[in-house]
Amino acid sequence: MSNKKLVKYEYLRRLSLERRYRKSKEKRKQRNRGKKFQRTSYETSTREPTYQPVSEYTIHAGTTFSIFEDPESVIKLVNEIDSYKKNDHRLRRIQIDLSDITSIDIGAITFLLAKVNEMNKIKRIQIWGNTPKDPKCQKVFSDSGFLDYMRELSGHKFERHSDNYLISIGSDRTLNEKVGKSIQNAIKNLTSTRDHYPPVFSIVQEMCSNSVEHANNDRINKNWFFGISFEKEGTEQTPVIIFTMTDVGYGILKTIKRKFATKIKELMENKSDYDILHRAYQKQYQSKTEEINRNRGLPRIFDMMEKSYIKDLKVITNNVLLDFDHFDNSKMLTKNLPGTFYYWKIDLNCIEIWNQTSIN
Amino acid sequence: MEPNKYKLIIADYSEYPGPRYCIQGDHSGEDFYHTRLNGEFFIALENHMKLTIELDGTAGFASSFLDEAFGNLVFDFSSDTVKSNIIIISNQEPDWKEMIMNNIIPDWESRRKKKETPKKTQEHNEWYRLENGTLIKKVWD
Repeated sequence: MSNKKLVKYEYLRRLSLERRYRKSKEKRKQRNRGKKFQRTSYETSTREPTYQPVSEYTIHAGTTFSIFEDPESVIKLVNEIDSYKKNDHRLRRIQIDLSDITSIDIGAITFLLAKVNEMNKIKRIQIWGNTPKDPKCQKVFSDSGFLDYMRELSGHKFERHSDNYLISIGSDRTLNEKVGKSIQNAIKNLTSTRDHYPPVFSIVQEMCSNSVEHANNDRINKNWFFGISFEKEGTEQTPVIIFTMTDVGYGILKTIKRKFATKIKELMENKSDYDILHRAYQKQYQSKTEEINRNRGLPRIFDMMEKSYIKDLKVITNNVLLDFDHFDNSKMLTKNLPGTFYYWKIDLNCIEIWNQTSIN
Repeated sequence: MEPNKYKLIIADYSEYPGPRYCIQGDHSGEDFYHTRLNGEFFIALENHMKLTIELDGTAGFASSFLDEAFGNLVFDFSSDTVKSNIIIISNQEPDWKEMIMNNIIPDWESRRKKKETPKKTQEHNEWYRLENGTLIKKVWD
């Protein structure tokens, strides 16, 4: 074949290729135009909330909702709420029915709040509920600070009726300043002056640090509530400040490390979990980090109680209720609390002892 | 100020000291060490003065704050250098002074000997360390 013919064929071949390319480009454009239209209309229809299936659930709290009287009832409720976390694409609306409650305490309320707060951060779960019908329980519930985190069905915030408050520290960082200032404000209720009270600040920092240190990084939210409430106790109506710290997490027993030999020894001596927990506060075990310089936090909390800078310290964690002031009241629970709950009080006497110990 | 003393007041750093590590919260022990204590201790050493560290005046402490701050100091300068060059004032809570001198310093000296380096949860500027009797400033591992 001559060179002239070769050039001609090559020219024709290129022309044909370009034509085919232009045609296919046009076809592609047309096809995509159709798809674009289809995709948009499809997405719009699924975004429409009225088409979403909604599952309604009701959880009844029963008559006793007190972490000290009947911790199992609180654990049962919290675990039941937790069971709705399961992966479900449907919208779930959970009602918590508190109407029949005749016995309630601040511990149960803060634990419920911590769990509700955790669940509210999960998409496609809506939690709502009612308040106790019993007037005394309703007052305790309304005064606790729980409603500060809720809204009325109309969307408005609830009105505050007391000085009590619950501070959410629901993140993976400690909020030193917020905690410190709220303690100063609380102390003013006892001493009339806005003073620091280092024993309580230290205790809260130790609890937060412990929680931050051992919290699982996979958890969506580290979820704590620091509660402050004011009461008058006894016939003389002595004013006291009640502090609570609620941490929805793993619990202390799962964060302490016992050597194998210690475990065997304790098994032989028939040590119960509350003996083990008590020993953890006396620095008998290692921290899970296994670093030599760790594990000072729990002994520090115990020390504050031993020196009477705080009183009535109680802790509920995993399957143990430990009452430091009345060890006989400590007991094993039949259910596992997923986290830790602390409760302690201070009165003027505690502050007096603290002031005497400090060298001024 | 006495002529042979140099003073660091923790309340000037923060009225509300925080947790152990920077990632855990504001005003942590790690941050205090790297932004204040290391530099102040170096100045005191350079000027042949003792560094007085005052713990009073804050809202309180978590033990982990003090552990991380004083622990890093021991790790970088050794327990002997630290013990002979600091004075701790803790009139409000004398227990802290006892804990630093009797627990934190010996525990961290043991870590130093085992070369268990302290955890750093954020990047820090260069800091001083005593290496073979010489003060060297750099970003250490």
